[in-house]
Amino acid sequence: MIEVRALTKTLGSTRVLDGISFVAPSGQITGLLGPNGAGKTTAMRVLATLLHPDDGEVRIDGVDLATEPLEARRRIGLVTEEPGLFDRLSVREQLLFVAEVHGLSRSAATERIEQLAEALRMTDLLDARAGVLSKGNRQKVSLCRALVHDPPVLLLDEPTSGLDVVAAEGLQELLESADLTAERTVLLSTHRVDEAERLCERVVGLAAGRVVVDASLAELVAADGATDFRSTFVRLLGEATLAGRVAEQ
Amino acid sequence: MTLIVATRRMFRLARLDLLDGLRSRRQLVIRALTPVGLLLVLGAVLALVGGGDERIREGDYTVAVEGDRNGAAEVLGSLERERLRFVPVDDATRAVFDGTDVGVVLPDDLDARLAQGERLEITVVENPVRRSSRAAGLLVTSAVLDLHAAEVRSVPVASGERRAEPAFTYEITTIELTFEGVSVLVAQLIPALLCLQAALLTNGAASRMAGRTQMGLVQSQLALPVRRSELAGAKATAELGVGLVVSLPVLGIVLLLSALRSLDDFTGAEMAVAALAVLVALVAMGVLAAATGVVIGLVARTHGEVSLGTGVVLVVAAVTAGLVALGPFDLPSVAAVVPVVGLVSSLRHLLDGQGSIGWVAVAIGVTLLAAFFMVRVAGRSLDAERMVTRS
Repeated sequence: MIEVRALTKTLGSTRVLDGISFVAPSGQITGLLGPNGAGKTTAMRVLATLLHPDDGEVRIDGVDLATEPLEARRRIGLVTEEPGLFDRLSVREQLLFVAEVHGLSRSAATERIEQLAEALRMTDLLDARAGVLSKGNRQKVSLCRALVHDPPVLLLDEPTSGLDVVAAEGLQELLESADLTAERTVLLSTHRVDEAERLCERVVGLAAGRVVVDASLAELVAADGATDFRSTFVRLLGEATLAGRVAEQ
Repeated sequence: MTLIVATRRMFRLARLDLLDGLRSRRQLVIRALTPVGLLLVLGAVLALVGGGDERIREGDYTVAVEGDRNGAAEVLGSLERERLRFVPVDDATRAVFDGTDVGVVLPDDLDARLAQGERLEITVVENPVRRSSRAAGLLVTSAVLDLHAAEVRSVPVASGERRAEPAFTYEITTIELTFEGVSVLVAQLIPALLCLQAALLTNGAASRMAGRTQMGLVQSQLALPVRRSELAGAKATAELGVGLVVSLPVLGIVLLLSALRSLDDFTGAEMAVAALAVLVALVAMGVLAAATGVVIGLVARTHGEVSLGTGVVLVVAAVTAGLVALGPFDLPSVAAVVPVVGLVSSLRHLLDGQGSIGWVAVAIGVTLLAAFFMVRVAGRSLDAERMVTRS
């Protein structure tokens, strides 16, 4: 489970996160949605311990980020828009490295990588150099790397951004697979409503650094009285974003 | 125990960066050959700067006199009128290396043997790289020629007969062509090479670090459960590893030069100590250079800033190599407390047979301390927040 309480973060002179609070329960995918500049990536970076919060509290699987960042990192698998792979090294070498850094023995790591590669349908990629892989396959490797130590929490920061339709579809299909995500707390940051609608059971909508929506998809549509999630969400975020801009001015 | 565990973790962390660095063969070859090329360029520049003629100056020139000075009082007295100030030395070549304008090696009982009409030879020792030495050499040889001409004129010649052969001849010896000259040059070349190699290591490390940061590689590693300082240390260790591999040609040259140096007056033990000092100095400078490169690569916001940072390091290294290792700046032993510069200076003195291993050890310690400080700075530079706000 991810618990965020009154999280505030200022970058430069801009208050990017303005006291956001939400809970991402375990066993389901929670979407972190919002337009560009809403603060999604900043929130994900704070959760991944890459940024220090100015104020507020974040707990990852019960571990306080502020006091135990290393322990929190052990419980997190992170996939970002840019996979960050060494081009000249093979996929297997890079996965083994991450597994060993997380404390897996060589044999356990090898076994785990084989299992994951099969589940992610990338066994044939294991011995390829990362530099020759397509962006879609690089993102698969990134997902495999995030899962190699079997973390209870998976943070996906716009993983399909920049992918073509086929590659994005392939990745979404994998994320739907119960083998990979069912037992974990998955937080998916995206600006694509269709992706959230397909993968997430719950959404947290951000606009201008504030939480404007925090509900399951079904609850949201029912409360709004609209016919579909997309129109409800777009309307809510649009209004909130506009209100935020007006408040800034 | 904790230190051992931390070190093992750091080496494990360094493995990926090291492998990545070693698989870029083209970069390895370029980085291996560049210092040799740079040294040739630097040598050419120094020769150009030291080249050209110097006008005979107003003041005296100092002449180191080796040999029987008392037996040559008359000849030297004649030469002294030409603004030459004579200083007795045991080794004229050495004295010229140490800054005396020119050296003269006299045969025994020069005046007496000259009076008996014996054919003798005077050796003039000069350093062709220094203008003042060449000018002083010119002054000495012209004075010797005048003396020679006067001797020849003093012998009466009957009508139709040829004048007598010269009473004595002179020979100009440039110090580079002496055995000791080569030895001293080697003592200067080795620290200069190490210095340039270190600067190139900084350059390579900074470029790669900046590239990896831009590709998101560093950020993905920041999410791993390791301390920032360990990660920074690992990056520097990997760069050091790559740096040592690309240093192999330089190391080969250094060992060859060391062997050449050992043919002179070093004993086996002294040579072993000197070789060990060179190797440890290479590693110490490498650690500092790699850590500096990591800091530059992480702190710089653009490739332009990386170029600026590494350019400054290269200029500092070239100046240090040119002035302290190869050039005229003979720093005192206590300069060993200045990182890098002190190491270059003390290593030069050691290889030159005039320094002590103690000062080299001090210089290595100081340089390693500076490297440790730089790793700490690198650890702070690995702050993800800084990277994120930068991007």
